[in-house]
Amino acid sequence: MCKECGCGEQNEHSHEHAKKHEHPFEIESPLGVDLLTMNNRYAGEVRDLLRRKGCFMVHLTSSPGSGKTTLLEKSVEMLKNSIKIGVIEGDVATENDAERIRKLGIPAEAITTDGACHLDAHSVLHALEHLLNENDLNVVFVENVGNLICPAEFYLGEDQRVVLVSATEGDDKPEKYPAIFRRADALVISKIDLLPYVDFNPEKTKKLAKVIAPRIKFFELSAKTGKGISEWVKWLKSIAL
Amino acid sequence: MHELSIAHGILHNLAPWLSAQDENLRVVKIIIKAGPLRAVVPEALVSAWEIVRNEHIKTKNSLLEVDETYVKVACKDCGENWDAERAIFKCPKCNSQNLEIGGGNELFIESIETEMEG
Repeated sequence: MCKECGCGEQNEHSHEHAKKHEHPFEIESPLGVDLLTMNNRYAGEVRDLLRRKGCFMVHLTSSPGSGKTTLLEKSVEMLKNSIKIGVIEGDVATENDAERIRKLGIPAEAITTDGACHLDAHSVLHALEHLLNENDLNVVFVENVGNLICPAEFYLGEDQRVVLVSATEGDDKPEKYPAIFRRADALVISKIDLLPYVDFNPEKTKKLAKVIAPRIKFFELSAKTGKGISEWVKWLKSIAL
Repeated sequence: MHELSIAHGILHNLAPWLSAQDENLRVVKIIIKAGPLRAVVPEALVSAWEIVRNEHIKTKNSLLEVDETYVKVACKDCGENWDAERAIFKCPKCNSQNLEIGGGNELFIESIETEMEG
């Protein structure tokens, strides 16, 4: 654990953000204080930085292989002429996803977690500082490590949390992983071009998601064929500009 | 294994208070209140604590217990309401999916038991 800021990182790293060496927070009694207060404090710093720079953050999270990076590629392709986009890519190992985004001419920071199963607000804050120091952006997408359990607990300071479920997964995902859906602003059902070949009922998934998150928004799309993409892009534009 | 991050959170919340206590104070037991919607596996949190507790002399031999709370579910159609161990998606009485789910988001230190060494 980093001795200065208490994050999970083993390596030495800089602390550009405020209040470098002070104890993270003073509390009178440890009783009743949320155990992720530390993470939430860094999430607050992420939000402050976003507001100062007039930037909006969308957090994409799902199981591995639901099509987060492919959806990002498609979104970038459709939006890059009207919105300045940056990407933070979280992966357990490799910078492959960040490379895919950079190929499109979009700035991307990679967070390699070295085995950790989720991003936390502290690592996102570092990546966001780097990204916004060098670029003037309207929207930053954060792609989390593929995992439907652990990321649920860690608020990253995002404005919108989007959960993806692909048509090749089970349509009962919201029932199996309620925590992540509980805190989601939008649900994207991806790979709908495969619906004729699988037993996935989008209505069932939507109904279950609504039970646990009554105000959740839905998108059904295929990043491969482009079906349903225009509604998604329209929504991104409406929140980002 | 995000329980390891949560175990670090326990020590972070305890540290300022511990440093204000007598140097001979030792923590014997910590009880954590955890709601079903926080995706915490109690056994995993206990194992994670057995690693993290060694980072502070005052918590070195402390035990961790998890006190699990309930999700409050109310059926908007038949009016039935109950405390559930996990999120429920269908009313067991009338099968409605028109439910209101509340609570279950707790995750904090409920109590600390200490003793003086020596």
